[in-house]
Amino acid sequence: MTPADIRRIIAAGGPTVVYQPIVSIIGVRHAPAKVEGYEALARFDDEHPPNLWFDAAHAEGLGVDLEMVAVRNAVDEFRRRLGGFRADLGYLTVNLSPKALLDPTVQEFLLSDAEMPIHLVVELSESQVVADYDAVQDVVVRLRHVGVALAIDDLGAGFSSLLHVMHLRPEYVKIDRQLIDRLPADEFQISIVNVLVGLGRAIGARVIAEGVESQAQADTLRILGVTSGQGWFYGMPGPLPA
Amino acid sequence: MKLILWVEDDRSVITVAWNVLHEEADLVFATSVSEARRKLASRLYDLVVMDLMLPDGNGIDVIRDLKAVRPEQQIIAVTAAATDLITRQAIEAGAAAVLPKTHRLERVLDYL
Repeated sequence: MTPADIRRIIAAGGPTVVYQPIVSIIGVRHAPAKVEGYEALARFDDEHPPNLWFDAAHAEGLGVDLEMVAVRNAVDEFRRRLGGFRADLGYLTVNLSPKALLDPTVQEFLLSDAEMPIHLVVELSESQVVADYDAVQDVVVRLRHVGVALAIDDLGAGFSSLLHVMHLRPEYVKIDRQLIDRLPADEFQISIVNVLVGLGRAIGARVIAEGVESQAQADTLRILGVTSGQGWFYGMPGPLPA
Repeated sequence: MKLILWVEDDRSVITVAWNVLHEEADLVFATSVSEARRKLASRLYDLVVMDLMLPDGNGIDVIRDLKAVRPEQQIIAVTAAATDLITRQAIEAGAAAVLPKTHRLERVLDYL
């Protein structure tokens, strides 16, 4: 995973993209889950997990370029599949670091593509500290004007996601998988999810639980008032439905 | 003894319920939707008594979510304003009955 490898991937058009469904868990139990959107996930052609590629790229000053090609690929494929305004695919979430969100090229892409028939949601990761929330807030406001929404990724997993929520007032919050992996047995996880659902309600954000892998988890999340879920239980990452 | 979760924000109703029922069943109280959801996620109850108007939300939503994942759960709704519309919504959500708060509270034991 050398700088040359990263440059080669960027020059070749970036990583491939798979899409994992995000479903409404308000529906009837045992009925097919209703897909409300998809998260685009980058995939690289080797054994390294994607986050290592992005970390390595950022360490070499190539992170924003790599994120840009990944997002462009995700949006382009989704738009192609939408074809004649297929609303049934729902929204598309793409992952961006705070640094990428502040990049003029990335902003130009997100703003210029706002007229396409995609409900685009930017998932802000907490892989980096935000030094200047005013600047990020300014971008978020401009994106909202063209219909792009904001999600805070990995809520509860790190040191900055609550700051993201406080400063940026997202439309979506995604509860990190580490906070639900021992449901329904873990009383502490139940309490934490309960609090995060209350937070979502208080700020008017839709709450999505990540990493849902079992019926028991899904049932507990519903009782706790979580409205949306994502994980292997609902659907593996893969190509968009034909 | 049977275990009842009683979701109610009115302290006077809680007091009456305790006085009338604590020798007949084990009672657990919750005073908000949030507290009710947390307690429902933590354990199973023989009966859930649900006030429909709570400070942080609507008891009907809780009934609907609970019945969706535990269809066998026995739930009765209590409300100070048992209009036809509210009664119909609560029954459609999955409540076995809707009782006015002015009713004799020991009637909930009929649903155990």
